Amino acid sequence: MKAKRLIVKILDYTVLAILSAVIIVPLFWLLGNSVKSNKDIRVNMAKFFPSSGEWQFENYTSAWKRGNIGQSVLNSIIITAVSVFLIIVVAYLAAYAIARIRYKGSGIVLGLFVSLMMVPLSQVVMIPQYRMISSMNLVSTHIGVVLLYVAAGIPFSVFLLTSFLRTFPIEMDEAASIDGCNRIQIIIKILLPLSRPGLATVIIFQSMNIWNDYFIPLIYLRSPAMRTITLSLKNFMGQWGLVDYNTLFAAIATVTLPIVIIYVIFQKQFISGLISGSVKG
Amino acid sequence: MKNQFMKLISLITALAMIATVFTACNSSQDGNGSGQANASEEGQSAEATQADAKEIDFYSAILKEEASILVSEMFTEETGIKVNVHSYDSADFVQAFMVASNGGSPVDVMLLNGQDVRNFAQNGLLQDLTDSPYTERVTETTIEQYTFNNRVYGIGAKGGNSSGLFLNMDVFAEYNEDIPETIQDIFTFNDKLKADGKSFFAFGGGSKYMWPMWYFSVFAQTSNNQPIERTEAILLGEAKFTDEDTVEAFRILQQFAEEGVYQQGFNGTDSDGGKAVFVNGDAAAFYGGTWEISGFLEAGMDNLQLIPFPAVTDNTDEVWLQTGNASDGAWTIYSKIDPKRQSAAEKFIEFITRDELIASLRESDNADLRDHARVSCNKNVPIPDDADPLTIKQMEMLETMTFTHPDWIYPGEITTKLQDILQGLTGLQITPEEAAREWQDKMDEMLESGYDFNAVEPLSGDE
Amino acid sequence: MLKSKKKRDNIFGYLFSLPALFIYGAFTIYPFFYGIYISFCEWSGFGEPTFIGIQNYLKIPGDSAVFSALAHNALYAVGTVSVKVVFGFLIALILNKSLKGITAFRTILFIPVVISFIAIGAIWTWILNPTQGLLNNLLIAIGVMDRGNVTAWLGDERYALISLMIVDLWKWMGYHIVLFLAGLQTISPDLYESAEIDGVNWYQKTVYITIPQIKNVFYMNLTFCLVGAFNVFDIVMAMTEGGPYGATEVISKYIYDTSFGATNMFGYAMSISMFVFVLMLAVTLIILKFMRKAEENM
Repeated sequence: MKAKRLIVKILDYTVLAILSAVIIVPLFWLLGNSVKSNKDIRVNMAKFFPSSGEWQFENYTSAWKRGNIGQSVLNSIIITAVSVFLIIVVAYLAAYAIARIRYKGSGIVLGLFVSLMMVPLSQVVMIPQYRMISSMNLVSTHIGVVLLYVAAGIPFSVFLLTSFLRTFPIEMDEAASIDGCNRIQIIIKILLPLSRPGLATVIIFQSMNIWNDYFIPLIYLRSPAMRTITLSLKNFMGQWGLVDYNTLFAAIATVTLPIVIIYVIFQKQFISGLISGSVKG
Repeated sequence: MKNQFMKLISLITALAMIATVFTACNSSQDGNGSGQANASEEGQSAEATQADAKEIDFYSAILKEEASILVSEMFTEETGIKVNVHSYDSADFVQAFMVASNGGSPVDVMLLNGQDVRNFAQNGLLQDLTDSPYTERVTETTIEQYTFNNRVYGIGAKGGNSSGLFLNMDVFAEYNEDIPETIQDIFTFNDKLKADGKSFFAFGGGSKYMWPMWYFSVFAQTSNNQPIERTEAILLGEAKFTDEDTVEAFRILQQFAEEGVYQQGFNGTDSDGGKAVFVNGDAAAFYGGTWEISGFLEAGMDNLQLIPFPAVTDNTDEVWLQTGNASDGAWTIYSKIDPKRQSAAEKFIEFITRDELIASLRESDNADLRDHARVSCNKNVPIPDDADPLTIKQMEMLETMTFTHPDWIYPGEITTKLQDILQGLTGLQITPEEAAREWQDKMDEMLESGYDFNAVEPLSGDE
Repeated sequence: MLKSKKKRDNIFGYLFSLPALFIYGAFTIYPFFYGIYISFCEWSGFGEPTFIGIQNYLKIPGDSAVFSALAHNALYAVGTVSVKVVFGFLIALILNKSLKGITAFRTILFIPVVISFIAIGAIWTWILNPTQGLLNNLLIAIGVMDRGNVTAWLGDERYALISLMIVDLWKWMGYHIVLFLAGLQTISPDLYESAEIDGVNWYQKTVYITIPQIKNVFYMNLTFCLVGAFNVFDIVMAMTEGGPYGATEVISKYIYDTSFGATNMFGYAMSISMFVFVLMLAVTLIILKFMRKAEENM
């Protein structure tokens, strides 16, 4: 019995180790390239380590300056955080209404949200959206972009949160309201704590999409002061000229590390919080 | 069931109506392209309504952002006119521009990539500049490049560039080879190189936009030095891609692939990968263009020679035209420019095409500005006497090249089709005849849909 | 008494849904309807569109490029969805255990998700470079590949699509794993305890307890993967641009080319988008129905 446990454990670790290797090796190669000198990067691109004596840490400082990284990361963070927050507020209210209040026509409203999830929407809506945003004078502002991301994020989030909320018996709400709670209290005191997994999912999904998005910032956030990180990275790539891979990779490394740290903190909070607050019966 | 359906329809309609009303209310504010901005300006200085605007929007495709901003600041310093710079990669330019212009953002001056000028003109986006005095400043061929239907739509920017074969003389020395004059020379040298796991050409076929160049130079030879004329004839429907000159060109290109003159896996390597193979010394030659000179110099290649594409047919006496362009881009004015900004825009064009300015940019700290001015299409801005040998060679090669590339006059779909079939041809997936047939089918489709090579439609609707 | 509560409920319901509906309506539905209008027009992208009725839609059946693109998407979907859902689940099971150092593994697997596609395109194009890339050099080192006969991963029409799928999996696996993980953590351990007392083995535990408990997570992941596979654009754009010779041409790339790279075809591009939309809607509804039926049978 114990031997079986051990074998399973070894297997588990092996699988995880292989997967981690597949992930880490390319990243390691990226890091190695990020400190190569300009000549080295063209001649010895395939090697992991820079040639001896040719470690060029200045790539990081020049990446920071050229790519306007500080400002771009800040912009990306602001836009992502505000958008995700608004998405949660707006989508949760709607999900609550559909799943818990179950008012007349809620099925149709849900269907409305879900139906357009599938369209390759960005090209279809690009031009009319621009017309609207520009007529509100919100081009090249964070608010304009946030509105678009919220609109884009609503379908998935409502769908997700609705099906999540539906897993709780409605009697829970009714019991609470008999005890004298009004709707807002029910939401805050009972449902929200239970919704952590659903909210975590929405937050993760939307943050990733918004953080990585390229086309909306391309069209709306042109100025260096407003630009997000995906756009700034593009700056390292010329059209006809040779790409500065070493600086580009340094920029990527600079940007990825804080995100990873945030994820580690965030992951612990939510997922470990789940174990204590999990659904009972 | 039906009840639910009706409710859904009415809900959607209601939403759509609300949104439409909402947008309509806001849209009615931007009447003529300048929207809110002009409204406040006009409010401030009532007398100034008759005066010219002191602001322009500059859309830049071939000059990087920092450089565009620098040169705009120089302009503002001299004239006091504010410039809003919008800089996009050439790849993103059309899309971003389309969205911006549809949204009613003001557009005044555009620095277009040469390949887009004809398309923009045909869509009615460009102002007729035939009578502009500044057309005098640039060379004849540059003007010809941007003349459509006998009207001039752009004034050349940057300089001429020719395609050419870069030779790594170190590799040639190693194998004791002379400069090739025919493709037979290339094939013989290539056999030697193959034995050592190298190849004659380094090329990034994965970046498919780099393929058409090969076709153009070979086509120049198979069409008896008439590549542009033949292309125009095909686009007018008077000739076909399935004619012998195109098929012969395809045949030759496929022969290249069959002989293995490219490095292994070339269609899976992008243009940077291709250049890396060359810089590494794993290939003897790189077919690119004079626009790559700066890049190679920076990578430390100091033993390079630049030659025209060698003879690929039996006729080795003729001086064959290379594919090239008299200028890389064009300064243009938007056809729907706000009339109040017209003179400001013209001032900008005057400034930016000035001989003295271009000469002064050669001393700039900004590498892009230096590159912009390195070779100029202005009549009176020759290269300096102490230019590097490759730049001098570049000027020489400008003598024996076409003034524009065929894909600068193709419509978009024809270009894309060519890129695809060249990949297929060199990947040995289709025969030359099949490739030509596929290409001509696309052309036929377009002609049937009413494509007119010479038509320059005015831009419909009001701004 | 009850009726007025119902009425109040309805009002509350609409009130709470209003912000979502309004933003969604203004910025998604309205533009979508505009897109529908354009699909009935001929337009170059500049100036005013010209109404031409259903001509664009009539072009679609004869356009083989649309169907070969969709076929590529379908292949892409099969490959990515199966691996993401099956392996994602299995790996999440492992990560759910309280092994030592499990947090480190969780973090590592998630890192590629946060890297932008520009970076991933750059990294992987180099890794898959036939002569200088990491992968081939590794394969040569271990003797599986011959230096004189390297595989062009992105340049060979047989391997290009699969290479893109691998890159996609590399990037997104961690995301699906985390989704499954979040779901797994909601399962009350009491269920397992009572099962263990009854003496069930691992396989039975998983199939009869775990999977049903998180079936919503399965549906979600399935939907995301499917939608993602049909909307895939970034990876293709960054790495192959649809090549070689159209081997990786996916529908979104085709729509993009038709919108911006062709003459007067913006309306046609919109009609293709609508066509794909209807297709996706149908597929999703079928899956939903199928899943409802499976639920009832359980």
